[in-house]
Amino acid sequence: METILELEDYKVYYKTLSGYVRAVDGVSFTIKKGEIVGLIGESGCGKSTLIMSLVIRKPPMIVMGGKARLKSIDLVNISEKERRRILLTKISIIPQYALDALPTIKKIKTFLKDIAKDKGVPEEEVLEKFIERARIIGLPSEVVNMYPIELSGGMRQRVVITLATIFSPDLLIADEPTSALDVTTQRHVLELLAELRDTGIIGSLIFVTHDIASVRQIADKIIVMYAGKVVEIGETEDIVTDPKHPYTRKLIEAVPKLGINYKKKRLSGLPGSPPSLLNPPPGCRFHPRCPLVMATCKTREPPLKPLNGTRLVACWLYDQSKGEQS
Amino acid sequence: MSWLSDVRASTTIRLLKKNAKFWTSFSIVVFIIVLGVIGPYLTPYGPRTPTSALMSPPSMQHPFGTDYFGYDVFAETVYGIRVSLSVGVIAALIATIIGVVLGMIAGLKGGLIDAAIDTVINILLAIPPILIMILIAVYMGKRGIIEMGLLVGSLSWHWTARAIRSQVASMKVSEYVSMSFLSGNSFIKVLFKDILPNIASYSLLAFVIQLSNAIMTIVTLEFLGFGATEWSLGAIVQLAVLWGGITLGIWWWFTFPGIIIIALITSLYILVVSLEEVFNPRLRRE
Amino acid sequence: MRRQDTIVLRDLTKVFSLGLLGRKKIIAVDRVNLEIRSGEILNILGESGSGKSTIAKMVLRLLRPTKGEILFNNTNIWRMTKWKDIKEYYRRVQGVFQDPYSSFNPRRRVLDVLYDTLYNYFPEYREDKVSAKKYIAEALESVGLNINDIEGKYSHQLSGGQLQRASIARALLPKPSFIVADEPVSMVDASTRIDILNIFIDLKEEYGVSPIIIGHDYSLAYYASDRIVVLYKGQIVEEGPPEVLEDPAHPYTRLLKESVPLIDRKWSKKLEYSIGDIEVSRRGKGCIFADRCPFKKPICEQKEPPVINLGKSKVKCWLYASK
Repeated sequence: METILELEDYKVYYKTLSGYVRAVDGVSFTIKKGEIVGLIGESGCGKSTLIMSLVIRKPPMIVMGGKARLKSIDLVNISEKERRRILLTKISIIPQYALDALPTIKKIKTFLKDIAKDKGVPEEEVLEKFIERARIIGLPSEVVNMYPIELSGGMRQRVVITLATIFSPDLLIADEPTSALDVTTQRHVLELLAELRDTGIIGSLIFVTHDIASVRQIADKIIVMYAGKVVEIGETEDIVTDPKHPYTRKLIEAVPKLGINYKKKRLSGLPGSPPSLLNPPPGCRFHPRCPLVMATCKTREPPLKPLNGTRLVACWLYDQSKGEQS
Repeated sequence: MSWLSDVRASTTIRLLKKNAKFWTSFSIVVFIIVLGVIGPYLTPYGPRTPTSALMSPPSMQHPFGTDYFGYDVFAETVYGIRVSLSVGVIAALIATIIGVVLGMIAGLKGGLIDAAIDTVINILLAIPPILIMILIAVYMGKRGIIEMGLLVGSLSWHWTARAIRSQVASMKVSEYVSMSFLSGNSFIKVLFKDILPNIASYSLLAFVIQLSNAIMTIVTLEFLGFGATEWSLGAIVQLAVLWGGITLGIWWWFTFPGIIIIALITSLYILVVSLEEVFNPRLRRE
Repeated sequence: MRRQDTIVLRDLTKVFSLGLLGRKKIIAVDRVNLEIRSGEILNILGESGSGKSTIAKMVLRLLRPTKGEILFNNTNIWRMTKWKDIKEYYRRVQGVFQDPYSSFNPRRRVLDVLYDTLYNYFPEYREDKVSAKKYIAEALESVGLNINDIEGKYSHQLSGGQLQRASIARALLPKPSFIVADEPVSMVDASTRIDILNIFIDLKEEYGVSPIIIGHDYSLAYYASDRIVVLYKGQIVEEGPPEVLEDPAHPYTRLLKESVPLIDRKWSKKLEYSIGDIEVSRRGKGCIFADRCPFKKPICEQKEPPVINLGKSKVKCWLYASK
């Protein structure tokens, strides 16, 4: 299968007065065509920084090194002009607060005109395409003449999705696309995203969230991030049913299944919070919160290594060589 | 969230330190104030001390020259700064106090009181207050520093009142004020613990805005002949124009006080803009 | 042992007037009747627009009801006029809000707000700073915080989870019977939600404080409750023990169950419900859910359904009417 996105030792830092915040610190993974990938982790783990840096780069965000390729395009050494050109056509994003991202005083039609002008495409073509897509997505064609304020939350999110995918990008990034929506609309939006992939309107999808239950519904693959690093990658089913990294395991345990009442079983969350990325802890970054911490973990950083088949885990528990040095 | 707070740790002070606009305008304002305070001690003349030289150009004896009547322009200017600034400060203080108090009452009480205050604000916004000021000034028996300050201040508070009103109204329904009530704080305690401290820093900014506007208004009134004294900044320029200072070629008569007026008003305006940039996070540029 | 306290909502209604001259009316809460006794965890479940937060605000005496009454031990709380009486009510009924960052005054230290609360309700501690500190440290400990971790800190210096815990600790200080928690976990990380809910459970089990938790998460509501109330467009549509969520009777609750993403289940069949955006759909004279309901009968659009007692639970739906 064709590779859509390839990251290798990718680093994105923030420059602050007190030093560099290492928000994304050496991340490597690939996304194949047709894949829906869930990127999960607590807030402050670098997920949003990672995906934003692929689309827009503004100070104090600095790409410190590594590779990032979108098909044949080098996203690290890309010119600003080129970046603008590929936005929407090759790579597109649904930002976290997309519901509020639409200025309320512009008709949807005006947005479409702006997009057409920016891309140098005839207005009618964009308008036609929008109406055609809107039909697939379940939006009445009248929305083009409406103002965002007239639309309900679910409708607005569908308009944002239609706008973001109008040029059929190879990669769509969705940052918490459902967290502001009601459960009943949530399901529709998630199924819609999967449908966009099934019909080939988008190539692949990165779905960023801290809600594992949503990821479970549509993702093929899950990438777990902690403190700027990838700690586990695997097929959705495998990760959810048999998480290997203690962090992933804790994240999944913290999500209650239906039918568990506190009287029957006490669940527990993950105590503490992710470390400051200004001075991340040495060794494994999860070690201060890890219930299975060993001596090695405090000094040596575990590499992301393959474990039976498709799984990749960065944890000393699964490394045969762990005893050699400690 | 932990790393976010590291990024966020940029303080107001640090931003002010970086702001060149603030430092330039602030220095000019301070310089003019200092000139008004110590200026009179630098010259042997008073604003109305007759000298033997009439219409003499700037010299060692008279650094800003003398006017048509033989008065020392430097003495007039430095005493004029005192007068115009005093009226301005009084007016700004009165406008800020009235504005903050009425704005808070309107925002906190709501209902009829709010509607009444809002109506007055809208009237003042619709009719240029300077017209009302001129009308009143015509009939005023005495136009001293305090009287003029009162006049300008009592007709300029509406801007501040409106801003404070909306701030207090949104604070009143904020969750931390709700929580303060739940914490057992009565209305008065909530006012002093949660609302006033948040208003205080804004009031300081409002005072500078008012000062900037008040000086502008006062110089205009002085120029129209409604000054507190004969030698206030605007009045000097007015006399110079009236007595043909321009046609007679006595350029020093109006140029020096004119520069002070322009520098003062411009710097105050830039000072307000730079303070707003720092205090209002939405205008912050980092 | 704490004394038995009750909060009774009787025909509680809130109508918001919008637009010019208040011509557009929005019925946020529609004749809600509910009895809350101390000793249980009540969970009010609803989506946005269901009126759940409006109920919380009215119970906390922060928003005046349009109609109906709220009785605390048979006293109408909206008839109270003296601050002394209101304060006594707040001593027994406390609140925790959704966003911990906006719950604390950004200019005051978090710990100062806690001391403030303690001194207001127990002035005797003012004289005894050592005991006051011990009291606050214990309250913080019961929510899993160490007093040293928040000493001298302002709200923006703490994480969302820490701050929400501090907010709960503050609510505990007056030793209340009830804590109304409006969406207490929706703003904190998914990994700490369970722990925050566990605090409320512990408060009930160990200290006899009865939490009234308001939320929108289906499985979290099931986990942390003794009784569930499902709210739709301002009306209670179903009420019963947490098990009603496993086998819901009302079509709306069923829709919720079908829609919610669960970690141990993958959606299979297509939803039989229309998309129906909650803010857009109209309110007829019949059942409020009729426009989206796949089981709708002619009567549903004509007449408001009665509340039907199904033994363990109560449901407001024509499907269960005898005949």
